[in-house]
Formats: sequence, structure tokens, C-alpha cells
Amino acid sequence: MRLAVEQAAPDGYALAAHLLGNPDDAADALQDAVLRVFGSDSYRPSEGAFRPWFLAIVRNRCLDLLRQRRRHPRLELDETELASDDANPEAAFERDEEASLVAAELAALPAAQREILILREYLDLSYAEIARVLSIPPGTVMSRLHRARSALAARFRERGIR
Amino acid sequence: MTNDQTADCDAIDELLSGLLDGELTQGTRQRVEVHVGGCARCTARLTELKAVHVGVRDLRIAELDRDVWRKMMNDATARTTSGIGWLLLIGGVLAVLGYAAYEWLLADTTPLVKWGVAAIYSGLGALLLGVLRQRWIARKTDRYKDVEI
Repeated sequence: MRLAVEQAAPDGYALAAHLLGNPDDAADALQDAVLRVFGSDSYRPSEGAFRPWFLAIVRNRCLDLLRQRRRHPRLELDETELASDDANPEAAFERDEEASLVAAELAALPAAQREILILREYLDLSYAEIARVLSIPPGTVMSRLHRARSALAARFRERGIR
Repeated sequence: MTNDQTADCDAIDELLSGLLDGELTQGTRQRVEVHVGGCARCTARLTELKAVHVGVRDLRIAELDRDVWRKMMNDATARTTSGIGWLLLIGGVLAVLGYAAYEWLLADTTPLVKWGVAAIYSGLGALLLGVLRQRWIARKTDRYKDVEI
């Protein structure tokens, strides 16, 4: 169990960081989720793969925190974290600048669209896994994801990104 | 572009995401690929969706600090161990007390001694519970409990 949690934790943190908007809150949410996994919410293999099950717990905890704090979630990516170790500083700068723009546009989307994009594009979950994390019928994942992609694509068009 | 073509594009649009993610059935995938192959509008749309896919995929998110993670896991282990410890302790105490009460009920002593002993133990138990309750309330309401000096 410990190994499974360790493997899924970076994904949980990434999801929480995007939903909550800052690293400290994300760490809090992840810690709460980890405590639940070792405490009240014990995992049963009959419930499917561990990773989506764990991400669902992280997501629920994030939603609890958002409700408690009643503040609009914002993405606050640390610019230094975007810094690249690329050998070509100019190319790295351009890429990091674009990543910042993408992050800003993503952060401007509604939370429901943002989370499905993170689950699919960033964490590379399948539609079935996304359905499990979001507790929605598998048949609705594609349409919801497509709406989110379309919304972000429209923002890219407006800002001239890519 | 004719009305029929536009209707086809509208019907295909959502499936472009499925195509991009490899989530379509073989038949649907072939149908979409054939349409996209002959439709400039849907080809451009697919390129646009790919740009979103690549843009979000290539984001770099702050990584979880290893020290924070180690502390997190230690906390989880400590809490689990502590929970099991409390469970065993309470279970053991209850079992011993139950057995003592059973023996006490069967003991061949005068009622005065019996009830006197019962009163003493009940009094001690009540005092202990009172102290524990006060400590619990103080712990829950202490605004400075998380302050590190």
C-alpha cells in the first residue's frame, strides 16, 4: 500500500496544485488524502486500479477545502519551477514563457474543465479512469473533455498561443 | 462548404477528441479519419485540439518536496500505529475491567464492603474521565497548538 501511495502521490499533488491553486494547499490536501488512505478509506482491489481511486480521494479533499475556504481557485505556478535546465537558454526561455501563458489560460477556465484537462492531458488517464475519478458515467467523459479542450483552444486563439 | 458537409463536421467534431486520445472503436475511428482526410476545416480543428493536448501535457508543475513527502508518510504511519495502539489499549482495559466486575459480583463479601469498593472505583473513574474531557477540550480549542517555537 505504501509503495502504491508513493507512486500515485506526485499525480495527486499535481491535481491538487491545479485545483487549489497553490503548492501549500496542495500539500495539505495530499496529506489529508494520504491519512485517509491509511485510516478510514481502505482500498479494495475490487474497486479497480489504485491510481484513479487515490486521485478521486485527493479530488474530493480538494473540493472540501475549496468549499471550506470559499475562495476562487487560482493557479499560482512558481516561475522558478518552470525554469528549464535546457542547454539552450533562449529556446528554454521561449518554451517556459509559453508554458506560463498556457498555465495562465488553463487557470482561467472553470474548475470542472480544468480538472478534466489535467486528468487527461497532464496525468494521461484513460476515459474509464477519468470517469472513476470524477464519478461520472464513462460515456460523458469524451463530451466533457471536448468542451474543455474547445474552451482552452478558443483562449489560445484569442491570445495567439501556438 | 455545403450544408451537408457542415452537418458532417458538427457530427464529427466531438469525436476528434476521441480520435486524439485513441478512445474510439475501430469503425468510428476509420469514419472520422476518412472525413478528416478530406476536410480542411476538421483537419485544422484537430490541429487546434492537438495544440491544447501538447500545451497542457508539457506544463511543469512544482514537484512535491521530498522532505515534505517523507514527513507526510511518517505522520500517516505514526497515526495508524497510534490508532491501533489505542484500540488495543482500550480493548485490553475493558476486558480486564469486565472480568474484575464479574469477579466482584460473584465475590462473597458483605454488601457494605462491596458497595464501598464500587463507590471508590466509580469515583476514581469519574475523576479520570473529567480530567480527560478537560484535556480534550483544551486541545481542541487551543489556538496556539500549531505554533512552533
